[in-house]
Amino acid sequence: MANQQPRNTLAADPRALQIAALGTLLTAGIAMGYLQLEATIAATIIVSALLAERCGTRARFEPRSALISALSLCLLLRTNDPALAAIAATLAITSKSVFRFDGRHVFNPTAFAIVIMTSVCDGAWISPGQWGHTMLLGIAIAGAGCLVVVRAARFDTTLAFLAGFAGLAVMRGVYLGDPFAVTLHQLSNGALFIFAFFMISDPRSTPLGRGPRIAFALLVACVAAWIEFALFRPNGAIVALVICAPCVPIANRLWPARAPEPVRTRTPVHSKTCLQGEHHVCP
Amino acid sequence: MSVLKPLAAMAALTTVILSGAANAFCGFYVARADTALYNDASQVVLARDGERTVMTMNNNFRGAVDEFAIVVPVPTVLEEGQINVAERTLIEHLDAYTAPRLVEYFDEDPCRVMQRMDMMKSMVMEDAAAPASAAARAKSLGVTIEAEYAVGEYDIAILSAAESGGLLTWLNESGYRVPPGAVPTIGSYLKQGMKFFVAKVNLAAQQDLGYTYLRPLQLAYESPKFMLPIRLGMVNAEGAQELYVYALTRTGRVETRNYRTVRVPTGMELPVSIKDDFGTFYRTMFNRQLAANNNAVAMLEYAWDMAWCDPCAADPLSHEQLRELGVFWLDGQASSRGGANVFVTRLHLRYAEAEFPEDLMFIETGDRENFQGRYVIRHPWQGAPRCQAAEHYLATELPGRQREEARRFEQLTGTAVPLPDGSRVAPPRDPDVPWWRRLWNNEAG
Repeated sequence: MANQQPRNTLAADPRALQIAALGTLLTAGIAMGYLQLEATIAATIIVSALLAERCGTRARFEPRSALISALSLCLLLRTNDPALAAIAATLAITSKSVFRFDGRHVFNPTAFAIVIMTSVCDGAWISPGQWGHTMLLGIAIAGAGCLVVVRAARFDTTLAFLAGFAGLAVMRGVYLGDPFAVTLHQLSNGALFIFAFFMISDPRSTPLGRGPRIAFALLVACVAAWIEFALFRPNGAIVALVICAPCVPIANRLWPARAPEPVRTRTPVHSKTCLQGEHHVCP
Repeated sequence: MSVLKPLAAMAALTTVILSGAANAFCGFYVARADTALYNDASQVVLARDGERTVMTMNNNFRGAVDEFAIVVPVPTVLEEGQINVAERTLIEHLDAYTAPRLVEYFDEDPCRVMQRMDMMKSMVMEDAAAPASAAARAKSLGVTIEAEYAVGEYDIAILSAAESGGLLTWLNESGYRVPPGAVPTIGSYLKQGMKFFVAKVNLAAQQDLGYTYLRPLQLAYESPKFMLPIRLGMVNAEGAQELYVYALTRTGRVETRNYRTVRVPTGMELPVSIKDDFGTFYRTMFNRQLAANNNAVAMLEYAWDMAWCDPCAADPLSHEQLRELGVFWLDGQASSRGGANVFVTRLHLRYAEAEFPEDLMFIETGDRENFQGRYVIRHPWQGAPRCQAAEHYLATELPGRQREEARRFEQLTGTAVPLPDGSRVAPPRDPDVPWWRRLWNNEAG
């Protein structure tokens, strides 16, 4: 009897869901006027990312990961120059093969490209205020994001980051004696939710074990709060993710994952153990 | 049957400028007598490159000059040379240069060969020292007077304090009437390491200088904080306050980092009748746009390379004027009109505590795309039709265009505008006319 591996179908792959969620956010963002994104820029980013993926991999062409990076770049990075858009997308994809450790890429591709581009080029920037502070939008982003992170079994990372960052913001607010409205306004930021649900939740650039993963998310939250509240620099969370990324391979060496994560499947388990006559109650 | 579409030529172009002339300091007004004061508008110019900022604050203080006093949180202790008093005309010029504008065209006789004459003219529519015992008292309250200066007509002090209560007491004893509601906000600024810049008018100095109004104060400082403290200003404000921020930067457009920045609707043709009261049209439209965004946005009214303009609401500022406004990175460049490497952003917002709980934080983007609030009116050609094109223009094209303009006006302002023939805007489409009849301009067919 064939061994039942989880099928790599669209339904089984959380990346398909992530592409759908990011695509919906992008479309809604443009339609509702939150995003000023030229079609040429969006197309350049997507095509460049797919091309870089195609040229950079010897194995079978797998567009989903590149598409996720491209859509995330469309959501977060702003530029009027198609050349810069192409460079950003290529940078994101190539960073996956250039910065590798133990068979995994070190940096979140989107965060890496955004930090490099905004540090080096005047013509590329982030608009952290573009998503506004409406709770409704935050809930919508969180809702779409929830589906994705639950499917990818990375809800712990998202929750730990949000709890860590919110905790620090609340503590700062209490220390300064600020009304809670100030803290709430800092936290109800669409860009922060996009980061928490679509960027830090990436399984490829976070530690494998649950404990280290939560610790990593809290570390990113602390660095992000330090950048925002002590250095007064924008985009603290994205920069923090890149700064903290080298901790991930170290954590994976120190605390390797004990076992692959269980994949839930509705298919009845015809396990080898039954056939081998072990005393299990088999369906 | 196809009809040759007449070309309505643009014969002349006029620009009418709405000056958003604003009216008060962004800081915090305090009265030295029981005069009802409130600050309902402010104009602030922020010239910034790297971590260096020059902030110019203009006001339309409406009380007696000897009652004027201001308290502004600043990130660092300022030396005397970091404080300056500027001429108000500088901000007026910048305001006129960046103001939303009405552009006027005239249709030409459709029977004549199109001739283009670019005549432009513009017009601006008017809108509108402590004695030793005091130092000891300050010390006993935990207040440190870091520095005291007399600059122009202003007596200035830079304060730091151990706690907000002591600072509040000192301010009130020194004639700055600060409402008790400001204590938590002052405390928050103190804990963030900010200092307080306080200024009063020295009447004798003002008399000697010969000014009858308050000139803008300028502060130059170096800090990673690219922000504008607005929270103190809301403590004694009556309702929402109007604020214009003019950012002068090297790289590109400035936007608010912790609030959305939204562009004002622009570039559309509108009924000719708005020329008589462009200010009212703009204000109504602006209010409607703000309401549509829950009042919690900064509206972008202008973003342009300061080397030029099109159409020019006012001449670009000269290098000398820009330097006076704090553009320090022009050193060594030839003095000429227009500013190379200077990009101006005009943000207009109306803030109240409910929608703007946080101070305004800004971010400089790399966007150098030009944007302006520009509205167009086209005067119809008036004359006896001498050809088919003119007949078509008068019978079909012009009424259609005027209906469209009126409909657009209604969408933008929420109010109806009568058409030139006295009628109101017709329903957009007659549902009984098949859609394909309107294709290829063959409604008759």
